[in-house]
Amino acid sequence: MVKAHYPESLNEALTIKAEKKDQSLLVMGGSDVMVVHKTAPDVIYLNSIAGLKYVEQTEEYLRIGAGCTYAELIDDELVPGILRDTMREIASPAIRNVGTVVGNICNASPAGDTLPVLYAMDAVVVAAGMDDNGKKIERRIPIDKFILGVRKIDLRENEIVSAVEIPRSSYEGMTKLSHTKVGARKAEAIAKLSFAGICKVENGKIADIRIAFGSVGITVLRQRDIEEMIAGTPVSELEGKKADILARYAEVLHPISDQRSTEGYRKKVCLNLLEDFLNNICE
Amino acid sequence: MKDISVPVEKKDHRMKMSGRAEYTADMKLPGMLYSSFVRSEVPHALIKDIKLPELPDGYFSVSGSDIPNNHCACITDEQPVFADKEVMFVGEAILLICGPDEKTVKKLCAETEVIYEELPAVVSLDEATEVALGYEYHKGDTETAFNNADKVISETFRTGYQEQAYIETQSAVGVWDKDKGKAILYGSMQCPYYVHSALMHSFELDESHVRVVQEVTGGGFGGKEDFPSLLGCQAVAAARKSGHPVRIILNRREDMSVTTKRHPAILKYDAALDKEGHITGLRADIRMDSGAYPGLTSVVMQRTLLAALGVYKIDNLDVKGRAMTTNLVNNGAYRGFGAPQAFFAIETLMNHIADKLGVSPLSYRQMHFVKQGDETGTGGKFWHHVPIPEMIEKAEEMSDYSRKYAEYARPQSGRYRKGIGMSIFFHGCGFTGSAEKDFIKSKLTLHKYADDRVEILASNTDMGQGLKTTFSKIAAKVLDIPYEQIIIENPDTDRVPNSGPTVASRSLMIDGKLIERAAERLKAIWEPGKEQEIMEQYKEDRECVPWDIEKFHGDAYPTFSWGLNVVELQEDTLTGNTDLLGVWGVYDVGHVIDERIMEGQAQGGILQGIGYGSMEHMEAFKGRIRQNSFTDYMIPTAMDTVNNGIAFIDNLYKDGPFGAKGAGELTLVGAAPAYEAAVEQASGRHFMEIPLTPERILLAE
Repeated sequence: MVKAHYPESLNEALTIKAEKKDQSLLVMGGSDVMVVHKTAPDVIYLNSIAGLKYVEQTEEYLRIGAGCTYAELIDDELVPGILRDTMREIASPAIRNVGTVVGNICNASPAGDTLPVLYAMDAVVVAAGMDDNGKKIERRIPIDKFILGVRKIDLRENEIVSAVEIPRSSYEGMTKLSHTKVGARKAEAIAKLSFAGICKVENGKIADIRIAFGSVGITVLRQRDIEEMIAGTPVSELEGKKADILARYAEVLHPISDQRSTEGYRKKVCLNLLEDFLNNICE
Repeated sequence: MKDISVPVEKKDHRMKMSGRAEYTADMKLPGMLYSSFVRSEVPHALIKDIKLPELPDGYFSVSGSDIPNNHCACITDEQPVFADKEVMFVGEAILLICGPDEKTVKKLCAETEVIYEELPAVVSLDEATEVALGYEYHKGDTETAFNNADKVISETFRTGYQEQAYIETQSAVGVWDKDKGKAILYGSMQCPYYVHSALMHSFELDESHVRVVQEVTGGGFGGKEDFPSLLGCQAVAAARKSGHPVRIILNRREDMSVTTKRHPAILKYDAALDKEGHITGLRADIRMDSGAYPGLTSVVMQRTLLAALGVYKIDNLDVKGRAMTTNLVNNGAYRGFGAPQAFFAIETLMNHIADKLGVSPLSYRQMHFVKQGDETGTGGKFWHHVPIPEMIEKAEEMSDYSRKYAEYARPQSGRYRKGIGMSIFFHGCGFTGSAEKDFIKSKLTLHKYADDRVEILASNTDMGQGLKTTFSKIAAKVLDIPYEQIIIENPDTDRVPNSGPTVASRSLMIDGKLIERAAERLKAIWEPGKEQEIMEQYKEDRECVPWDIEKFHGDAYPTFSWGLNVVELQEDTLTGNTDLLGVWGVYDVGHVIDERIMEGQAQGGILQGIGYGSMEHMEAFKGRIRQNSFTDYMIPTAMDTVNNGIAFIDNLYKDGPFGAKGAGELTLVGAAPAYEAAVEQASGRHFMEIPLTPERILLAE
C-alpha cells in the first residue's frame, strides 16, 4: 500500500519526511517521477504547499521557491532572461505547467535542461531540514556540489529542497548571456547536448566568464581553471587565444555515443557553440 | 448539387472526439485473462530448455506445441507462431503466459528461464549473405549504353528503418468457442481477412469456423497489415488452451522492438550519360533487410524495383533487387511500401548528376520526364495523362521554387544557410501486379433496410484515414440520399464479404468503385420501404499489358497517382539542425473525395516523409532495436514544421469512383528526397543516406 501525504506547509512536510526518511518519495510536479513509475510506501506531494511558490530578491540573490513551475517562471520578469529562455524550450506546455526548476535539479539528469545555465550562474541549492527539537534548519549547497552524479544528489533523508538561489551578480551587469539546447526536434526532446555561456566585458577586457556544457558527462561540465585563464584577457587578444581555449575544452570534453547522438557530434557541436560564443562576445 | 469533395463530418468524428470510442484495450469479456510474452533475448540460438516457474491455478503457459500448425500464414508461412526449437531474432515470441492478474503474469514471465545455445547471428544488412528472395528486369541494351557512355556516374544510397508509430499499440483479444470449435478474434488491424486466413491455416479450420472482428483502430500506416495475423494466432492459441478469452496488448517498447518496420536498404546506382548529359542507361542493384522472416518482403521489393527509375523515361535498364535474411526483427509494410527507398535514391541521384553537370535539378529532370503513352520500365504503359507539367507550374506558383533555387545557389555566409529542394514521384495505385484479379477478387455488398437506410458491407477498415466517410459519401452521392442514411460498421467477417485488405492505397479506388457500381444498380431497382441487397464483384476489363511476375513484365498497376514536393529550409551550420521555412505538396489523386480528409492525408504524409528523411533514426545495435520509445525515436511534432501549402490537380480516372485514384501513401513517398535536396543546397554537400540527421550533416557520426 502507498500512503499519500498532502502537507500544506514546509514544516508539515519536513515533519513527515523526518519520520518516514528514505521510505518516502518527494513529488513536486511529478513529470520525472511518473515516467519511471517510481513509488515508495509514503509519497509526499509538495505541490499543495503554497509557501513554496515564490520568487523574491535579496540584495545578493534571486531566490526561487521549490514550488514554482516553469510556466510561472517563464512569465516572471524577476527571473533572468537566459533562464526563462531555457525553460521555454523544455518539453511541452503540459510539462511546463507542472515541472519545476528545483525538480529539474533534484532529478539530476545529465540532460537536465536548466542545469548548464544554473551551473554557469553558480546557483545554490537550499536544503531545509528539521533538527531534533523540531526547529527548521537550512543547508546551502553550491549546485556543483549538490549534484553528485546521475540521479545522485547530496540530500539527506530528512531534508527537502525548498529553494534555489541565484547570485544576482551572475547575470546582472553581464554583457553576454547565451544558451543553446541541441535536441533532435523542437519540442519534447531530451538534449543531445547543451551550452551556456555568460560573460562580462568591461573596459575592453573579459572581466568574468562562465562556460558550461550539458549532456556530455554524468554531470554538467564547467572548467573553472580554463575560465580563470580566459578572465582578464583583452577582447582584442581573444582571437589569438581562441585556438588554445578550444583545444583546452577539447581535452576535457568526453561525451559518449548512445541512442540519441554520437560522441563526435556532441564534441564538435560543443566546440562550435563555444567558438561562436567567443567570436561574438562583444555583441 | 455540390461536388463530392466538399467536406462532411467524419463518420467516426463524434465518437472519437468525445472519447466514447472503445478500443481493444477497453474490451472486458467475462473471465478474460491478461497475458505477457516470454521473448528471445538473443538474435540467434537453439532453445535447449525452458524452465517455467510453478504456475498458480488459473495460469497457463502457451507455446507452439499448443497450435495444430505452428506456422503463421502471411504470403509464406515460415514464421512460427511461437518459436519452438530455434529463435531467429531478439524479441521473437517463445511463450505467452496468461492468467487473471496482470502483475502475476508479468512476474511469471520474468521468472521463466530460457536456456539457449547461441548460434552465429547476422545483425546488419552489410554482413548479410543469405538471399531470401530476389527479382530483376531488363530493358533495351544496357551494355551498349554503358560502353558508349560519355560519362558514367555511380552512387550508393542507404536508407534506414522507419517505425509506423501508430498511437494505439498492437492489441488483440482471442476467444475460443469450444461448443462450435470456432476461433474468434477481436483486435486492432487493417486486414480482417488476412487474420481470418492465418487463423484457418494455424488452427486447421474452415472459413465458417473463424470469425475476425476489427475494433476501433488507432492508426496503422501498414504496421497493422501483417502483424495482427501473428498476434491473432497467439491470442487464439491462449484462449483455446485456457478456455478463457485472452487479451494481448503490447506495451510501447515491446511494440517498437518486435513489430515490422520499413525495410532498410542499400541502393547502388550506375547511370550512363551521353554528351548532353541525357541518361541513356541505368543500373540499379538494391539490397533490402528482410529481417528473420520474409513476410511481405516480396511484395515490398516488387514495388521498390518498379519505382527504381522514378518518373523518368530511360530506355536501357538493368534493375535487380535482393532481400537479405538477417537475425533482426522482420520488416514489412509502412505507407509507401518500398517506394520511398527507391524515390529517395533516384531523386537524389538526379540532383547529384545535375549538380555535376552544372545544370539546375529541375531542368535536368525536364530532359527525362515520362508522358502519357510511354512505356514503363517493365514493358507496360503509362496509359493515362501524366500531369507533371501542370504540377510543376502549380508548385512554382505556390513556392517560387526556381527563383529561390537560383538565389540560394549563390555563395552564402553566416551561421544559417538556406536551401530549397524538389522531388517528383508517383505511386502505383492498388496492389502490385495481378493480385486484384488473381487473388483478392474483391466482393462487397450494399444492404438496404426497410427503413431505407443503406449499409455498406465490406472488409475494408477505417484506421483513422477516413474510409468510413469516403465510402459513405460515394454511396450517398450515387443513391442521392443523405449521407447520414448510410451505415458502415467496423468489419466482422461473419457479416461482411472479403473486399480485400486495407493496404496499397487500394480501398477507395478499387472498392470505392464497387460501391459506386453497386449503388448505381441499387438506385435502378430502388423501392422505398423494401429490404434490398446488391452484391458487386471486382472485374477487370481495361486495356493492359498483362503482368507476368516470372518475367517481371507488363503493367504492374492499373494507373498511377503523381506527386511533387518542395521543401525550403535553413541549416544551422553550428549544429546541423534545420528549420523548415516552407513545405509544399502538389498531388494528382484523380479526384478528391473529401477535401478535408485529403488535406489531412497530405499534411500527415509529408511530415512522416520528412521525418523519414531527417530525424527518424532507428538502428539495431547488437541485434536489438535501440530506439524503442518515443523519447528516443524521434517523430516530428507540429513545432517542427510550418503550415504546408497543398494543392490537388484533377486528373479523372475512369475506373475509380468519381475519378478517384489511390491517395494514402503517395503523400509520404517524395518528402525525404525533397528535404535532402534542400539540405544539400544549404550545406553545399552531397549526402547518400537517410535519415539525414544533424550528425550526418556535420559529418560527425
